[in-house]
Amino acid sequence: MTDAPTAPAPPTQTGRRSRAWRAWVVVGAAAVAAVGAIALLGGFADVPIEKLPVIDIGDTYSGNEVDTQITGTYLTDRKPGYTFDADEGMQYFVVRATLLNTGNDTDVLDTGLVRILLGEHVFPADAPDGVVKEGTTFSLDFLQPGLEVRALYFWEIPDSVDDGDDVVVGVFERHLIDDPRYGGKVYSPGEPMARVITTIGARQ
Amino acid sequence: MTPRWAGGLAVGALLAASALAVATAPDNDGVIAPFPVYGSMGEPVGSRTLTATVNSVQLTDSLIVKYRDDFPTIETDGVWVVVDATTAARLTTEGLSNLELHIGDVRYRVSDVLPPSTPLLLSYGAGVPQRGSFVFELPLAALDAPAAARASVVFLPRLDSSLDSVPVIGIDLTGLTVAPGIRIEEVAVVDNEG
Repeated sequence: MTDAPTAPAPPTQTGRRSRAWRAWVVVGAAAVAAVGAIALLGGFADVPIEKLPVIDIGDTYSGNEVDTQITGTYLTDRKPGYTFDADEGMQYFVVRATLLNTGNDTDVLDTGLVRILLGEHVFPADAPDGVVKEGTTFSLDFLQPGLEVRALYFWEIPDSVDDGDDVVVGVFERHLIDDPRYGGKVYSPGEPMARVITTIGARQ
Repeated sequence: MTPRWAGGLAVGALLAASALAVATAPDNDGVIAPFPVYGSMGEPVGSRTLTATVNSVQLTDSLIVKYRDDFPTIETDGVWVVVDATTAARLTTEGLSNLELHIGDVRYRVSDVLPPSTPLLLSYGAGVPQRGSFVFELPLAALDAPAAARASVVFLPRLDSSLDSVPVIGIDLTGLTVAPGIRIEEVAVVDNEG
């Protein structure tokens, strides 16, 4: 006669606690490893907007391609560079900037250089509706090396926005990065580098 | 029997030759760079797709568009370099909005401020020469660079002219007076290429 198979002993309270503790250690170690790997791969490289350096109206941000100076903001009914007004119930928010391409080549970063955060109306992902050379009707298509340009960036916004409302103006730049899809270096999308925390109507 | 040191010497020489080849090889951009076809002002310079002749060069502080009365005078905080040139496509229509003016290592792109019709588009196809003004906006300081005496107009027919021939015409930007406004003529079809 053979002995009947012995039923496994029911887990004790101590055994359950021990296994649970080991499971949490494994989960914790995996989480730490995952966070470390993501950080090493640059997954946390984006700088939160509140960590960006703050500059004042009139200060120059010296970027890797362009020196940018935000000199003021204002509201207007007339579209900058044009002779007609905004649509009914709308107006234009304008950022005045002085730009200097410090490189040796014509630079086409012009429209990507300046973005704004204006309440719930305009977000940094929203490209300007236009960029013109101040005092002219000419759009700014590129920046010649060494030639300082006064530019107006503008967005059409609701006319409920008033002088004195808060606005954040971001200064962006781009970087050459390796991209195997193109077999070499290409420019990254614009990245925020500095911000001007101001109010509409402020000027240098 | 070959001495043992001779083998070592041969390997060393091969390594040195390899290092020299690597050090002097062009980079990726250099391998596919356009082939410049050099010329001087007043002479036609031909590439695979284009013939170009620079007839004159002037400097001014403002451009007056003669063919559009309603068009505003175009001012600059720098200086306008006005290049009068005759160009002709050799194969098909060509765009010339990527033309560059080189002063030493610095490269300026041709401006698109002039209203149509401009010489930035060779719209009549092969073999029809057009004469018109290409304008470049520069900082005044660029004219003081020693290389301004050996500037060049690079007739890039497209953004990527890799492995293609390109007319490069030397010009001297020194000793020119900055005129108070130059009247710009509309581009015109002409009889010959230079």
